[in-house]
Amino acid sequence: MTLRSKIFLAVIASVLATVLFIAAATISVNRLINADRRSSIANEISRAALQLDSLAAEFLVSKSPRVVRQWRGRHDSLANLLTTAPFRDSRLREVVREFEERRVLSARLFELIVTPDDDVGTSSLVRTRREQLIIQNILSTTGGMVALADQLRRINRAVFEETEGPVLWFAAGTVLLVVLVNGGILIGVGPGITTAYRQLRQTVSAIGAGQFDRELPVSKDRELGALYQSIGWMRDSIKESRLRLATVIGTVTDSIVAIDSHGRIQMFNPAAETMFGYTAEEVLGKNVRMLMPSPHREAHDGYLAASRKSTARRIIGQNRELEGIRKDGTTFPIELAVGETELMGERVFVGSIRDIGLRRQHEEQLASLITELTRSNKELEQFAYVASHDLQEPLRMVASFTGLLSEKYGGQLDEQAQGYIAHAVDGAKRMQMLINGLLDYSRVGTRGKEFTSEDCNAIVAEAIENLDVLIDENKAAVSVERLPTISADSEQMVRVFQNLIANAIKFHREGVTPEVSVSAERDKQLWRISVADNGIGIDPEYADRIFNIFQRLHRRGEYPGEGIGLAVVKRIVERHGGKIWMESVPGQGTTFHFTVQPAT
Amino acid sequence: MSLDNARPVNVLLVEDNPADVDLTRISFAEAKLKCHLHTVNDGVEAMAFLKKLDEWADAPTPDLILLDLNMPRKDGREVLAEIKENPELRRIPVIVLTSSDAEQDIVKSYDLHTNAYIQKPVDFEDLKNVVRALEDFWFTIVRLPPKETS
Repeated sequence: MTLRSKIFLAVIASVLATVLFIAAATISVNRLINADRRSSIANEISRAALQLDSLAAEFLVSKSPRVVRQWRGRHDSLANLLTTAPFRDSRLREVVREFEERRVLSARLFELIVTPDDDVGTSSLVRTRREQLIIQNILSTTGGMVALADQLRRINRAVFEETEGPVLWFAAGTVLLVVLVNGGILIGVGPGITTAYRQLRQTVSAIGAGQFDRELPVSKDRELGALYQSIGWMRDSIKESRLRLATVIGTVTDSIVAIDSHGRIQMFNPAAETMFGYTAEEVLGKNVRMLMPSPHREAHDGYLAASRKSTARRIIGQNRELEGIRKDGTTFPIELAVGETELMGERVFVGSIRDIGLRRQHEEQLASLITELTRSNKELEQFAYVASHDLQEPLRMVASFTGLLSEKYGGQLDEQAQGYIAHAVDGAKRMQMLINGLLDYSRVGTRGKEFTSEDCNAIVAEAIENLDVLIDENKAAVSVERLPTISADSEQMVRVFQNLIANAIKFHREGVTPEVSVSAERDKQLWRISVADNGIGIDPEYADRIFNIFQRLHRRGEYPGEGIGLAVVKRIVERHGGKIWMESVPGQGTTFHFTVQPAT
Repeated sequence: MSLDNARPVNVLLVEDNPADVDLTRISFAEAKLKCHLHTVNDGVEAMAFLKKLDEWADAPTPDLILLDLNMPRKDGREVLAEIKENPELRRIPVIVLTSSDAEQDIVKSYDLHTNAYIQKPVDFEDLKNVVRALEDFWFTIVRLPPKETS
């Protein structure tokens, strides 16, 4: 039986017993009232009988008409009383019936004596004798009535006592029943409930205090069992969320410090221990001021006082950059974010603190690097200018005057001397080309323009147009697949294609028509563009070296060029955030691949 | 106006490097140009020549100026700016003739209203061609403003 039905039953029994008890009491009270009324009627009857008796005696002496009137009035009221009297018990009714008979008889007798005898012949002696006889009869009748009235009172009391007993017993019985039923239920249920309640209270407060390993009591009772199980789940859930929170707070790299509205430290996580050099035990309960150097310390008191006055709860400011002070007295820059909450009616401020010393240091390093870079860029530009102007002049002198020498005095020199002069001129010219190449290379960085969305098809078309002569001379076939729109400095990208296509044509195989194909393929976030040829190929051994500036794989004279082209291409591709590499089969051809950002 | 007309043509060469002066002279001679080549060694002298000051009181007003950029005292850019700001001188064509192929020099020179910018070729043969082309263009093809007859 469930607890609920037990209690339900107890309540029903109590209600029933109470109803019965009330009924019994009502009946009992009713009977008391009735009995009381009956007894007062009986008394009245008895008193009336006595009066009639004494009125009869009085009449004998006085013959007064007043007495006759009184007798008749009394008689009538007695008759009335007898007809309305609520006597239901048979014995009472028997007595009343007898009483009534006597009353009627006495009335008749009284009328005989009151009414004068019209018989003239009757002597007064006879008449007096007759009266005496009648009076005696009357008196005996009324005396009987008095006796009957007494009997009536006695019987009435007996009747009351007879009926009163069972009613009282019944009332007592119902009370006993209620006591028994409720007592039984209490004995059956009560101790179980109190024990369970006590255990429950102990268990719940233990869990509340953090004893998550506490075993829950076991109960055979289905309901209690379910309750314990629910508490078990609650315990596990609290345990889990506490554990999770503790793990988070314990592992975050930010310090977490919670304080109450008076600034007393309530929580100090491991990161805070590391950051400030205090253990949690050392700071818990102490004022958070100890973690702040002046003037932040004084300012903080002000904040707290202000926030105590205002009731509005809020996140206090965005991240602020302040200073913290360690146990050893050293200060360090921090970034602080404070949130406010309310725990058990207490306002709590939770600060999350980040040591930004390293970040500051990085920022400073970055700033100095940028300065350095700007300076070095300036120097590079300066160098480029010097190279493009001042270095050219002496070079030109060498070349021009050797040329002049050869022209003017060529006739006076032998062939060998002419050769020397030619070498000198050649060297000066190559020197100039090298300088120009170097300038080209450096200008990729210094003269680059911003990237815009460019149609790669147009870029390649322009490159091909620039190579018109070279393509014609070599009867080369350049095929271009559909190319994407890319994010690029178009001028530089034209150079990339121009250099790659020019190389592809330049290094063609003897007797083989140069074929160059340009294609593009999506490569994750980027486009991979390929320029493939059917030329002499490059030994994979040199795959990396070919991109170095002034790197040549062939003897001068075999192929023209200073080894600038691919270095510039690589520099441009890298400036565009891409990579360049090549695949080649010597004797069959080479493919250059590079990646480039798609248009945004 | 052709060179065959009796009036001699005057060219002012502003150049601080004596070797370059020599080269230009020789190339003018080699190209058989029938013009007077006057030379000054820096910007200050160039302005004095143009304003006929001091020793250049009798100097002629040149028909063409060949101007180097990098010179001591007053460089070519300053000379160019002064000429083009001067109402008396600004009609004279000025040709920047320099070793520099720096973009900033080219742009700056045209901003200062140079009439042409030529980078001196490395090869002497090329220099001769440039000089010939100069003559051909400026004294045959182009019509210059008339000389002031005063």
